Amino acid sequence: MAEAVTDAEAVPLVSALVAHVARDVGVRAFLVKGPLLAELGLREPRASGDVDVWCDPAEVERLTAGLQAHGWRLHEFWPNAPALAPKHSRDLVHDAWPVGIDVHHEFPGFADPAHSFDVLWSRCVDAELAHQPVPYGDLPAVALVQALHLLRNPHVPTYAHDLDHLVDVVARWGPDDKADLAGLAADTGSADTAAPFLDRVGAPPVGRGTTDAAVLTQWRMRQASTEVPMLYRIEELRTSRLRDWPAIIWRASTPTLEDIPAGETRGRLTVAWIRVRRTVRGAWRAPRATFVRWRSR
Amino acid sequence: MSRRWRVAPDVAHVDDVHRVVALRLAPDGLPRVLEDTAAVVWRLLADRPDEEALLTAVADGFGTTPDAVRTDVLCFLESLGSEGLVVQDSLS
Repeated sequence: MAEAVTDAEAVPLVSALVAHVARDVGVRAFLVKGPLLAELGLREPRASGDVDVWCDPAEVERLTAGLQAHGWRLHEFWPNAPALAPKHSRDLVHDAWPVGIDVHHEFPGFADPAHSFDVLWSRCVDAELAHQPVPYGDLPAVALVQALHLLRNPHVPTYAHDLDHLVDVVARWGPDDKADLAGLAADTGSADTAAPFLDRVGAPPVGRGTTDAAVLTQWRMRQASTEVPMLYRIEELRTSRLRDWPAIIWRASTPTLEDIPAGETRGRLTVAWIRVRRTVRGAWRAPRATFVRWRSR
Repeated sequence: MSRRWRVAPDVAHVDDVHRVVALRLAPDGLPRVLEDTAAVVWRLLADRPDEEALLTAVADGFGTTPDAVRTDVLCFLESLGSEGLVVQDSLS
């Protein structure tokens, strides 16, 4: 039986495990975010809630299988998610650990996942966590990934606070480092999505206006979806045939963990009431979500 | 012939001053929490002392003699060794 560990203890240990498994199965993968951010001064020290790893998009299955061989199992946190809601990672959990692992096959804000991965991987160095080597990006790469992570949820106060901190630090970099950062953003197709960050730190505007319109629309929808939860549901309805709408609405009304926490059971009448409540709430939110979808074009 | 104990190369470990948590990076690896004297012994392994130096350091920390801690410390190290968390090298 495993002994209980804290998040602060678990994250470096699980990070080391992920790096070890990736090496063991011969998959290129590097850690993103996590405690090394604070060591680099790019975030204030804070225990992370999970371990994020960005894996060669062609090798996600192999890394996932490697982790499963270590007792980790796939977990779906949002089983009734809208079909169009983009999934950028696989989530794994383990009974012995308080934190999960997010295996990213892409990272929102970077245009071409495979190319972006190659570029960022080529800049990785071996950092150390829990006395083990873990591949991690160099300073500009880490700053850019963190900026895009924070820009994805601009309405969340902790994200806005962390972005202010990141901007304060990167704004003090020299012109060569800022040019390197801007060049990296251009090379990874994130010059436009990261523009609010790059402008604030005074990086040169390299590669602006080159992002595909569809990619930008997806990015804006991701940003808006944290504040407008119905957004992807509306998009799913908008792109579906009318006869498919009842099935979509039925799936959307399925109680989530928020309605019925794991391990609890509710009677049929209660579940029916939750479905009605979710449907009414969805209908109430639909006009705003429609407007935000239109504005994201 | 003396022995030298060290943390196994495939073991990740963290230390937050109050305790140490070690993990063998093997498919059946689970977190192992070390507190109090166990954590003290683990930290001393970082300097890769030979067995007598390790026993002396532990004994000094508790104001006693190496012989007084010998059995407990060696049993503990053998137990960590059986879990694959530490390894020993023979010194000629």
